Amino acid sequence: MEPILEVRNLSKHFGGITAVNNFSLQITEGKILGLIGPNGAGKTTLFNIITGFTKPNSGTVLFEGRNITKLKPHKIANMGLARTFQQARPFRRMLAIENVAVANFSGRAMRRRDRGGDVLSKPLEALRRVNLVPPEDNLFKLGGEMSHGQTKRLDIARALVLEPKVLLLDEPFSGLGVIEMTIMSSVIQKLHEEGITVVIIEHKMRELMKLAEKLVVMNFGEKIAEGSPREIAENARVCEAYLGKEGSSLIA
Amino acid sequence: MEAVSKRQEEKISVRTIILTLSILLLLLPVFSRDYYLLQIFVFANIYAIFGASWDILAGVTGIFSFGQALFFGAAAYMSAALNLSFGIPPVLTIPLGGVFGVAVGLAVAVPSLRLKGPYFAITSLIFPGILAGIIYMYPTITGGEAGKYGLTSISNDIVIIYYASLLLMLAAIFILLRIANSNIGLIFRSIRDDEDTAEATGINTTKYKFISFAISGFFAGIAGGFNAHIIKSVAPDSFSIFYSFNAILGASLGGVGTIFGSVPGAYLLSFLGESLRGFGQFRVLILAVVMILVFRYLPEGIIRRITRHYNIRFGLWSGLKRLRRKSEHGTNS
Repeated sequence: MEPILEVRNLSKHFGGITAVNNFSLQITEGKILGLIGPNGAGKTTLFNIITGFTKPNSGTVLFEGRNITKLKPHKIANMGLARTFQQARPFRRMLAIENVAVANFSGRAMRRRDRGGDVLSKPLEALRRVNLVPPEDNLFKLGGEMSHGQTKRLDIARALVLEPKVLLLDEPFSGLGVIEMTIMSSVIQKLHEEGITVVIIEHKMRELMKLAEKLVVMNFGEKIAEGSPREIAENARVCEAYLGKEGSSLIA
Repeated sequence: MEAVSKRQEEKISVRTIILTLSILLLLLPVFSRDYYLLQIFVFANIYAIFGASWDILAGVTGIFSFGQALFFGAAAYMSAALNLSFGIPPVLTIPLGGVFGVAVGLAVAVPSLRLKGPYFAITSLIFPGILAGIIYMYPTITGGEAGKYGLTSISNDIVIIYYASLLLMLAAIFILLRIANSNIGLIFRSIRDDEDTAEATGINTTKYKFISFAISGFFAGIAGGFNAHIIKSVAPDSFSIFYSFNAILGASLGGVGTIFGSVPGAYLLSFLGESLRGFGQFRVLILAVVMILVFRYLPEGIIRRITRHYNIRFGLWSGLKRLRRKSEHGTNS
């Protein structure tokens, strides 16, 4: 089967530093893919290149077979390739419902909204899907007033209004409490069941191992391993570079 | 949905406040026809439009500019040229000045796409100076340092001028408020709060920044053109930093991002400025001290202070009306 998202021989240098080095990856539709590796391995840079925020020095990004390497971020988002950022980035002085409703005015949502359709139905539905509503009070919280865990899910809700085919999540679990992590896990699991392809950058290995069907390990901008969670946990090179000696203990 | 119904009542009180103030201003000439007093109100109205034009760009869209006088001055010269050379009446030269403001706004939008935040703000300081420089270069056409005189007056009657300025101001504020609370305003605010998130949400931020510059340029241009016909002249000092700061200070005193705040801000600034005339050069110093005190004790501005006190939410997206209607019918679970 043709991959829904593919990157070919991507390289990105910042001055003398090589953030991504001849990196290639194929992402199969409908799967959850985990992207792991030490800090500075180039994971976020890879996300930025895929979503158009950073232009690579060489290589191509293909989404549904189309070359999107040179497209602007909003064009890419409007094709159904949505993302969140590592730091939750809500619109701080806008209400939660407004935060999500903005996505209604993206080219993609405008095309898909039937005429006379309610501008609020999709945002409300998205907020329900990420468990921010109920309680209804959350609708009227400012982005800047919400807790870190809530803003992480607010960012996902905003992306969902775009009805994405692929969702790139940059550390969705970082900084979350135990309960919030459980909620996040079930939210991501539900999106997966709905058929959305999900790519997750994460350091919280326990959560990721439970969700991801496949893991890709990056180090110094290169792919050093790829395989099932079990294969990765038992891979000597990965343990040395990232997981540590007790890598296999992550597989319950 | 208790929260929704509470907001519904609030909306009424914002309307009531605006309506009451508008009626008071409309009745002013009934109580006084003093030329000097009405003149101050006329200029305050112009500055209110000008401040609100800055606010839609800076306060709502988040593109902070120090060069708002560029649109003001450019439109003033355009209106003057159309009036003096072709005899076009003010009714047309003022809106045409606004259209010229749009053109200038779109031109300035280009560098703003690359220069973000403070970098654009600093660069924007230079823009009015560039145009003023060009005007000095061609004194035979532009009048050079002395400027151009003899523009058609809007009316010989100060009361009519007063009403013209008031209606223009109310219309401008009304339209800008409608824009700020519209879907486009929602997009503007998203760009202000986080441009990257807006892009990642599929919003063409470049397009909407151009739209914001165009709207800002139009209303600043209207203010500049109107001002030129009031003072019946144009001079390079319409590009002065004084005008840019007037817009910024007026909007900031009233409350950045509220649009409506420019009205009390401009009134306060105008009357303070006039009442301090007797102090000569110390006027600016005293004005500065007053500003510092206001910003120290009212950092959010006059309007936000009042609305917060009465628990009124300002600048709510119009799309939320549907949510209110829904909850009224009890269809929302």
